[in-house]
Order: sequence, then structure tokens, then C-alpha cells
Amino acid sequence: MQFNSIIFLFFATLFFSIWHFTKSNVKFKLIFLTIASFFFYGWWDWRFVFLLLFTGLIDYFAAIGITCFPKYKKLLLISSLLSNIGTLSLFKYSGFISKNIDQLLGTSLNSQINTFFLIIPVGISFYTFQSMSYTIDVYKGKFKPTKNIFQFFAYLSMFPQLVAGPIVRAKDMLPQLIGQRQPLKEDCWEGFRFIVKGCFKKMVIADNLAPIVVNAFNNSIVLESSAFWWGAVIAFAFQIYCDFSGYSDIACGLARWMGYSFPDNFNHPYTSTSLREFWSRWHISLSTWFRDYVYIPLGGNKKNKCRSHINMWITMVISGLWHGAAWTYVMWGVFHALFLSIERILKWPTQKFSNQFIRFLAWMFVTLEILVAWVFFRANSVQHALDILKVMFTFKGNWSLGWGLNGSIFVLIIIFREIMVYTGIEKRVKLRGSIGAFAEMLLYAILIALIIFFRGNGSEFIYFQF
Amino acid sequence: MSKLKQNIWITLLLAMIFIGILGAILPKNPDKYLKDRFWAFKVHNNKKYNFIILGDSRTYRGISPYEIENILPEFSVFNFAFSNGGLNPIIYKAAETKLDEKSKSLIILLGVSALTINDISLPNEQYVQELKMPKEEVFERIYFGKYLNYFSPVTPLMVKDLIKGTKFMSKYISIYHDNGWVESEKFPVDTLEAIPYYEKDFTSHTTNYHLVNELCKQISLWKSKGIKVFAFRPPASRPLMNLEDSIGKYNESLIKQQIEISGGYWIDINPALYKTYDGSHLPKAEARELSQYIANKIKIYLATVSK
Repeated sequence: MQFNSIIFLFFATLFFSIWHFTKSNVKFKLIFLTIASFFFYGWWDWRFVFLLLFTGLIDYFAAIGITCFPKYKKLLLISSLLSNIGTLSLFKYSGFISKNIDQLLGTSLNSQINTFFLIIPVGISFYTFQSMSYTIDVYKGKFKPTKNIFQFFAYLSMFPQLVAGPIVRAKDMLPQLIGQRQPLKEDCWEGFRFIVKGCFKKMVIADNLAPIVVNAFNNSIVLESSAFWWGAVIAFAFQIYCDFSGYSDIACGLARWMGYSFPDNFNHPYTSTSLREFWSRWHISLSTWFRDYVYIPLGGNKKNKCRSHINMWITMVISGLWHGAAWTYVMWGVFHALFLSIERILKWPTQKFSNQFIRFLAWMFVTLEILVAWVFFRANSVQHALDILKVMFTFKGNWSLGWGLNGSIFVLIIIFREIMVYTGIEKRVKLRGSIGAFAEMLLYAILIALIIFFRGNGSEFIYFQF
Repeated sequence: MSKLKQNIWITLLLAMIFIGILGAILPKNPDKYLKDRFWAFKVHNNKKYNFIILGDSRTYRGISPYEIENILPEFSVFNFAFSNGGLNPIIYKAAETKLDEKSKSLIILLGVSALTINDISLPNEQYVQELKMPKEEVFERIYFGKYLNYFSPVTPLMVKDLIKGTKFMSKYISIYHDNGWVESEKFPVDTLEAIPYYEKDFTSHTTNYHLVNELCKQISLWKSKGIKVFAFRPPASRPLMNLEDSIGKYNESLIKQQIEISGGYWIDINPALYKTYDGSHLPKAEARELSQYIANKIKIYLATVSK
């Protein structure tokens, strides 16, 4: 079920109508939330509800076992991790691994895989990571596991963030779930603003940029025009940003309406003046997950410099693979790792630039790195990415970006918005008092009308596939 | 009600005003929703019929179930033809699910154009694509398609044209009927329009007689189940039919003969009697005439058989 569909509108209306009556009964609230979330997930393909149940139950019992039988806690953690990584590997990576083995050894493993295992369950990477963090944190003694199975499954399957994050930590979410907190007045308005903003980003900006990106990248011939490819990559950069941050905004808004709070997942990443800063602003819940559960356990930067670089490279490559089972994603991770290493070696300032011009140059350079990395992320193969990059950097062909009037308008809207944030104008022009409140209501009313009439061709959220 | 909750209602009210104004001003694209709804309904509706029509776009634009039902009132007719629709097992199986098994008399009418028995239409792409559509999208298209027209999305380019006074003119008029017929008209008429597309298709693929054999086997099978099968060649412009015969290697007399041997009944059509708007598709008036002609032929056949 997609947030930008009429069926979700029905689902959400029904859900919140009943949710309103769960105020005092926490037990009923958790049961209702779990059932609704399973229904939401099962709408896509009911068979995979059992997969969610299966991996969830293993983690639920493993976490309880870790506290009850400390002697076997390592064994229980390993079995939990194996079940999660095993499921993820089976559904997400078996096709990729077998294809590569077939290419290398001339075998025919890929054709022998049952087609059921070639379907990637929606959001598997998100809920698997969420589930893994639960058992790891229990193992580390950060909190005690819940014995209430509905509390656990409400946390794991909570529908606003089930299929595309943000990846919420158990230590933050479990206490909220059993709390008696009801949505505050501010939550309703705040949640409404989040939802409208998210829908605008996804349905107006991302969906209208999608045809430009699809036309460019799905064409078997790489058009010999540098400007066209720069245009396509910039369009993709904004498409993926608006698509994913739009989803996160809607998820945060829905959570607010339920009386819960999700962490911020995006913070204007394209205003970054260093890659390190970019990673503290882009998909924050995933980057902090990798920091806490991969980078730091590997030793982080506590060992020698060389080791910290290796740890960072490992983390970035796994992060690339997390996005998809293809060499293009691995290359995307490698490219980011390479420039993060360069930044570390050069002691690139993370945020503070005394000179505005140097700050602008730094921003330009970082944006260029990010755009080049996006080419690998979106291309159909590594060779395809290299062909595109070759055209981009030879500066040939005509000077049309290929956006047309339609694309240009939507790119300009998002560029304008980011400039407002980058230059700090947004904070300075904020109106206060009743005029400010009315201006805000007017703005959101206009956004709703624009969503209705300027929505693009509805498409699935990009991050669903991950 | 708190002030902040009130803000939501005021915002929604303001949004409704904007939507009302914009909906009245902005150009519409009625075709999109009605078309989407039409295809979703064609594939996903659960109604049963005792008269099913199969074929490609020439058939779904060229045969009106209304005319057939007028002449053969004992039948409920459904046009189950698709764009690039191929006559092959994918569609045979699908057609059987639409047949009302409780009915005493069952009929399948086949529009056998050169492209329906060609490898190009083998995947029955449009049908399969519609079949695989997520159920929520199907639900949306079927139940809300009619009403969403008011909220037709527009592009900045369309707004620019509106401001400049350039009128958004649809030259292809299509009315989508729930019985699977697309009542069509196109201005201006250009009977050579379809020729290059057919030329291109037939250069790479010609009539596949293996598919004709499979079709004949299927006709025998249907006959053994008591289903009566009728077939015809959807009329097109003379140059286009010549193209089908020459490069497309469509041998009408051979196909007719094979179908009749298998137990089907071939209805001869005189293409000179029907005028197309693009060389391959019939406008609504011609479609009605053709449907009446076919229905009368079937009526005569059924009367003869019952005697």
C-alpha cells in the first residue's frame, strides 16, 4: 500500500478513527497497531507477512533468551543475526551472488533458484536492520527486552516506517509505545505539515522529474551530450531526495498523529560543504545505524589511521550493497569511501568556513562528488555509468539540459527551497503572530492544491525496492 | 477545538477553494482516467458473459457489443480484445474465465488480423500488464476513474498554453464502454497513417502459421466443450490489407479453410464497404454497421443449426 494512493487514504482514515478510541488501553492500542501494520504490509503480498513474523519471532525470543540465559547470550545473538542476514541474503542477494558465480565458473546456479526467492520483499532491508539493532542492543545491555509480544511487533512492523524507514531504534520507540502519551495539539498541526510537505516532494517534484530520469537512463544509447547528462543526473539527485525525504516526512507526520516521534531522516543534504556533513544530513537513520553497528564495532577511528580508513571503506561498501544487489551500488559506496578518505587526509573542514567564497567552492566540489556518485547509483551497469561519465566530462554536444519547461520549473522550485535554507533566508523571513499563522495556512493550502493538479504520474517510492 | 487543530480545518477549507478555482480553470485530459478505468475494468471485472470477442485494436474499436445484443438479445456480449492482442494460449485461458458456464449457448468471436497471429503479439503485453497491476490501483481506476477527471493533473507547459490561448484539442475521440468497445473517431482522417507501422512490424515478423495451427486446435477444443466459434478478418483500408497479404504473409483463404476444418465458422467481410480513419481502425458508425452485419450472420447460422 502506497502513501500516495486512494486506498491508503481509506486505510489511514479508518485507522485514525479507531486509534482515537485506543487512548486509555495500551494493550488494545498495541494489538490494533500490530494488526493494522500487518494488514498494511500484507496488502502488497500477504505471503511475506509470514516472513516478517518469522524473523520477528526469532529476534523476540532471542532477546528474551539473552537476558534469561546469559551463558548462551553470544550463541543466541549469533543465531538471531544469522537468521536476519540469512533471510536478507536469500531474498535480496541470492540472485546477484548466483549470477556472479555463474559468470565466474560457468555454472547455472541462477536458473535453479526458486522464483519465489527472487522476489525482494518490500522494505526487507529496513525491518531486518531494525530487528537486528534490537537484539544487538539487548546483548549489549542497553535496555531490557520487552516480554510483550505485541509491543515488539508494534515496534517492528509500525506501518508508517515499515517499508522505507526511518529505521527507528528500539530504545527510542519501545518506551513511546507503552506510554500513555496522546497526540498533543502541536502534534496534529505538525503532523499535518509533515504530510503535506512529504506529499508535495514526492508527488509534485519527484514524480515530475521521474520521466526525465527514466528517458535518460533507460535509453540503451548513451546520448552524446554533456549538458543532457548533467541535466539528467541533477534531475535524479533531486528526484531521489524528494522521493525519499518525502516518504520520511509522511512517515514522521503519521507518527506524530499517533502521538509518537520519529527521528529526522534528512536535513537538506545538498547544502553540505563536506561529504562527512552530507552523511550527517542524508538518510540519517541509516548512516547512524551503520556507524553504531558496523563502523564502531569494527574499531571505528580508535585504532590507527590506516585501520580507521579500512573500517570506513568496509562500512561504505556494505552501505552500497544494502541499497541493492548490484556492482553499481558497490561502486557508489566505493566512490563515497574514496572521497571520505581524501577529506580525512586533507583535514577538510566539516562545516565551518570563514570565507563565504571558499565555502561556496567547497559546496561546489562536494556537490560534484555527490552527483558523480549518483551516476553509479542510477546507471544500469558499471560500464553504463562509465560511458555516461565519459560524456559528462568531455563537454560536448548541445547545451540543452533536456528538462524542458516542465522539468525546469520543478528543478527550480527545489533549488529555490534549498537556497533559502543554505543562505539562511528562510529563518530570517519567518512571519510571526496571526499574520504568520495565516500565511502558513495559506502556503499549505496552496501546496495541497498544487499536489492535486500538478502531481506527476504516480510511481512507487524509490526506496521501496531497497 | 484547539487553535492548532482549527488551523488544519482552515487550511483544508482554503485548499478546497483553491482546488475548486483551479479545477474550473485548468485544462482537462478526460481520456486518461476513462481509458485507465476502461482497461482495468476489462481485465478485472468479475462479470460472466456468454459471448466473448477476442482480437486486437481493430476488433475492440471495430465491434460494438450493443449492436450484437440488439440482434441477438439472448446473449450478453463482451469485447475482450486488446491493443497488440495476440490469439494465443494467454488470451484463450483468460477468455474462458469470462465465459458464463451456466449459459446454454456460448460463443467466441475471433477477429483474426495478421498481427493477432504474429510473434509480435505473442506476449499479449497489454493484457498481462493490466493483469499484474497492483490491486489498489485497479480499485482506484475502476471506482474512482470517472470522478478523478475533474482533478486531472496538468503540466506547466499546459498552463503556458492556457495563458497564451492555445487550445488543448484532442483530435482522437474515444468513448470507452464497459462492454469493452471503444467508440472512436479521428480528425482529420488519414487512411495511410497506419501503413509505416505495419510495414515496420511485418518487416521483422510475418504471420506465424504455427500460431494458426494452435488456434485451430483451440477451436476444436472449444467446439468439443460446446462453444461455438466464429471468426472474421477485421476490415482495413485496401493498401493496408494488401500489405498484410504481401509482406505480412497473411493468407486469408488458407486461414479460413483451416478454421472451418477445425469446426469454426468464418464470416467473410467485404472491406470495401467499411472506411477507416487511419487505415486500420473503423470509426463508430462503420463499427456499428460491421457489428450488425456479423450479428446477422451469426443469427442466420444459429437458426440454421437449430433447425
